[in-house]
Amino acid sequence: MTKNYRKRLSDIFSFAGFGLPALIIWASVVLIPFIYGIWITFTDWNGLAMEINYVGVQNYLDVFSDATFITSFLKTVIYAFFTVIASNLVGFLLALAVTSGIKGQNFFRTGFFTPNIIGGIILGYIWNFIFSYALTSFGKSIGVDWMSTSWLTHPTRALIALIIVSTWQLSGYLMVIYIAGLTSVPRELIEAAYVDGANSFDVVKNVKLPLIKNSTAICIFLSISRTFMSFDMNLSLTAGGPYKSTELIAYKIYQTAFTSMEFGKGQAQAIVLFVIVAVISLLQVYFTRKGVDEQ
Amino acid sequence: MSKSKKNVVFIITTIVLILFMVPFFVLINNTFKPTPEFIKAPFALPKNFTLENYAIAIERMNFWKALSNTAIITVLTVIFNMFIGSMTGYLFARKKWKLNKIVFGMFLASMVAPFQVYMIPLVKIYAGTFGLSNNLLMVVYIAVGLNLPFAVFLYKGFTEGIPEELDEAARIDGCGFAMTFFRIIMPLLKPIIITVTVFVAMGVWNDYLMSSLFLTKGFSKTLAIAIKTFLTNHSAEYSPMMAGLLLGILPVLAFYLIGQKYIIEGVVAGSVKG
Repeated sequence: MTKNYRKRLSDIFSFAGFGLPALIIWASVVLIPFIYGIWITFTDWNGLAMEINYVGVQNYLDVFSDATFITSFLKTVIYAFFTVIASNLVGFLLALAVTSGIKGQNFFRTGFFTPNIIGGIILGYIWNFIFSYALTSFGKSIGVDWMSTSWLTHPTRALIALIIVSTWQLSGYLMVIYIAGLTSVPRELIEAAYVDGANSFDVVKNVKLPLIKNSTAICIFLSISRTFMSFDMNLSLTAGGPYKSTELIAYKIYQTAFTSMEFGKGQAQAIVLFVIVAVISLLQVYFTRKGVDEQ
Repeated sequence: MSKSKKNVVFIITTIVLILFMVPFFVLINNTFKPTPEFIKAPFALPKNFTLENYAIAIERMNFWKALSNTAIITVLTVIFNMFIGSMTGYLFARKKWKLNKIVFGMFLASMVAPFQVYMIPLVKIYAGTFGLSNNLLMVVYIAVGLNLPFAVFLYKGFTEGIPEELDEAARIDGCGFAMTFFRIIMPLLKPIIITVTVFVAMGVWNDYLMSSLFLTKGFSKTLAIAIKTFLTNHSAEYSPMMAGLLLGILPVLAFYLIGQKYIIEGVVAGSVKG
C-alpha cells in the first residue's frame, strides 16, 4: 500500500515537473486561443467595442459571399499552382546537378540554400528594389517596353513577380530535400542502368525518380502548404498591391482583422485557411504513409 | 557521367548560381552609393563610394537595440524550448500513461494549424486583456508555446530510440526520474537538440508577423520589424534602406557561414519530420 502510494506520488511529481510546464504553455498559447478563436467567429467583435453580439454563422456566410475573399482565394490558388510546379522543377534539377559528382557540390548547395536563412520581409524588400529600380533601369537601357515600367505596378506582373521570388527562395529549400532522396539511391543501380545502355535522361526517369517518390511527395506538399501560408513576402514585395490585386489569403486575413478591424470575419477567414491547410496536411500523411507501405 | 559532361553541368550550375545571387550583388553594390547614383545606374559600381548609408540606417533603425532585442528573444526561446521540449519528450517516451498519450495527440493535431488561426485571439488575450504589448518576454512565451508541439514530437521520437536499459541501470545506481534524464539521457540528445534548436532559432530570428503584433514601440522592435518600419516610413532614402536590409542579413549570414551544415540539416530535418 505505501509502496503503491509512493509510486503514485513519484508519478505525479514526474508529470508535474516534466509534463505540466509544456501543457500549461501550450494550452495558453495554442489550445485556448484556438477555442476562443472559434467563439470569435460567431460574434461581431471589432476589437474595440465593449458590446459583443452573437451573429451566428453570419461571418462565415459573409466570407463565402465576399467577392474580394473569393478573388484572394483564387489568386492564392494560381500563385500556389505555379510556384509549386516551378520550385519543384528547379529544386529537382538543382539537386540533380549538385549530386552529379561535379566540383564544389557543397559550395553550390550552400549558395542555393542561402535565401532560406533570410526572413521573407527582407527578401521581399530586396526584390522590391530589383523590380522597381534595377529591372526598370535595365529595361530602359536596352529599350524593352515591358521591363521599363515596374512590374509591381501592374496587377498580373505583380503576381508573376511574387511567383518568381517565391520560386527563387523555395527551390533551394526543396533542392536539399531532393538531394537527401537522390543520395540514398544505390550507386550500383545507376551504374547498372548505364551499363545496360541507358542515357542520363533514362536514368533520371526510370531509376532516380521512382526511387525518390517519398522526397517528391514531401516537397510537393511542403511547397503547397508554404505557398498557402505565404505572408511576409506578400507584405514586403507587393503589399497586396497594385489596387489590392495581389492579396493572398494569409495577407487578406491580416487586412480584414487589423486594417478593417473586422475581427470576427477575419477569424472566420482564418478558420477557412486552417481547414485548407489541414486537408493538405492530412493528404500528405495519407500519401507518404502509403508510399512507405509500398516500399 | 563523362568528364566533359560533368564540365558542362558545372558551367551551367555556376551560371545559375550567379543568376541566383544577382539580387544580393545588386543590394551590396548599391549600399555604397548615394541614392541618386543608385537610381541612375543600379548595376554600375559605386563612383562616389560612401559608408554614410550604413550610418543612417543604423541610426534610423535603432539597429543595435533591434539586434539585441532579436538576440534576446531568440536565445531565451531556444533555451526554454530546449528544456521544456526535451523533458516533455522524455516523459512521453518513457511513461505511456493515457494522459500523456492524449496530450501528445493534441500536440500533434495542433501542428497542422497555421499561425493565422491563433493570431487574432492571441492579440486579444495578451495585448488586449493582459496589456502585455511591447514586452519581449511575452513574445518569448508565445514563441516557446507555438514551437513546443514540434519540439516535443522530435524529442519524443529520438528518446524512444534510446534503450530503456540505460534508465534502469541509472535507477539501480540510485538516480530518480529527473536525475536520470539530466545526467544520462539529455547528453545523448545532442544531435536532435541541434536540429530543433536550429529550426526554432531560424524561425524566431526571422519572424515578423507574430512579433509585429506585440512589439510596436521603438525600444522593443526586433530587426525584422525595425527594417519594415524604416522602409515604410522613409520613402525616398533608397540607399540607406538597402544598407539597412544588408545589416539585417549580416548576423544570420555569419551564423550560416560558420554552421551551414547544421543549419541546412536542421531546417530540412525540422520541416520534413514536422
